[in-house]
Amino acid sequence: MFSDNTNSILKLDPRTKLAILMASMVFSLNNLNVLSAIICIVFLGVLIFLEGDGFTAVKWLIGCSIVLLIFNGIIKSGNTSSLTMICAAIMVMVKVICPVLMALALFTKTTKMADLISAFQKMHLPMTFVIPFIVMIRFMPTVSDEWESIKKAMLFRGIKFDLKNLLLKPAQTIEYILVPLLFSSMSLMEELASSAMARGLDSNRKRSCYSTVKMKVNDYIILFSFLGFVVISLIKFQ
Amino acid sequence: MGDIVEKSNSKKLTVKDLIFAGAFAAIYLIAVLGIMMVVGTVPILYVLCPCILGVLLGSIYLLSVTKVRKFGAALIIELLFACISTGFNPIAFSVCVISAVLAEVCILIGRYKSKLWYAISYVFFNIGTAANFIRIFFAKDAYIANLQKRAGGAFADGMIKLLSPWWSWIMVIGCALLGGIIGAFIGSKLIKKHFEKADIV
Repeated sequence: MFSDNTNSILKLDPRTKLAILMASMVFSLNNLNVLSAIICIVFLGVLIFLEGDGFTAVKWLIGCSIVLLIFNGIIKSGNTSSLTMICAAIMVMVKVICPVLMALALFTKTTKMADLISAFQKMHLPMTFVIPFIVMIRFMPTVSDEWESIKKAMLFRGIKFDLKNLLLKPAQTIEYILVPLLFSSMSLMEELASSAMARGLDSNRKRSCYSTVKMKVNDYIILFSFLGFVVISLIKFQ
Repeated sequence: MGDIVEKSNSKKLTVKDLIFAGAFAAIYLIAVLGIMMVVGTVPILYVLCPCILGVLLGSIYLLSVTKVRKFGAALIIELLFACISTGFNPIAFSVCVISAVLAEVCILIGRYKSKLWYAISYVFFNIGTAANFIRIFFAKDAYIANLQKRAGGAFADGMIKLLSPWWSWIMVIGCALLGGIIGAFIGSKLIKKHFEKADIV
């Protein structure tokens, strides 16, 4: 996460990626059309590919498009069984969540932390908002890794994280999942905090950055084409 | 060294507190996403989401606010949650902000010491998880038409049946409050059992 990707063709400004993330959130919460959802997914996939993370891009692209196309076909075929209902529910989930997750992947996997902080500083946001935001985005993949390994460890002992256990034994489920999760994240947080303090995140002086963070022509082209797509698809095709 | 000690005793949020708040917000969000993935496919449970989330996430909130113990921790977590989950819808966003401010006021009444007021503050904080439903009530007809186009079939019918009567308002907010109460109870028990023993809080 937040590593330097040397094989990137395109290097977007963090602000552009942030704007794309916000626009895709607004888009996916208001979008109904399957076709425009697929266009959005393809656009984001191409961006992730150009940023140098080909594996993620191909994975998301193929997965989302196939799911959307097949399920759209099943729903259009018109039989009203419970299968259609399940398909519809899954399709709504994919349609809403996938563009956001892809934009999040674009944002987190291809941005350097230092670039992000200096971009935020150029936007003159207060540090009380910037630091929690950055830590949150940096911390999300870590937490989901921990979550996965805790689920595996629970399966070894024959405890399953599913709907039945979640509803029937909420107290025990919370105890078994959250306590190890919180304990391990607490120690990670302490380490993160001390490493950030050692690098002088708490000083009041203006921070400097190795690489220059600047909006270029590419940024404006991609930003405006994506925003234009979102506006047109939300106004025209609903 | 003396400087650092002095800073951590002050009332303002230090960088370390901000890092803790951000990291707890990440845990909170991942947990919300994980639970929604499991719960979200059944319409009845989908409406009960505020209650389920409230019951399950109480300990994360309580641990974060008792760890930081300053003004602003709950506000930051709820703001970050609102940024991700509401899609910048003005009504849902303001519901989140108001619930977080109420929670902060509760903690303030307890003077950052009282465990009872921390637990009460979670009840208000949990209204934020119902923000997306409260938004629906402000534009019910549009939402129902939208849902029929979007999902169609039995899912939409189930949702409409649940959302149309007048008492559904009370049900959703009551759900959030009930979930908050149970979650606060479980959370404070859990913190007493595990985290106070380990000297984390």
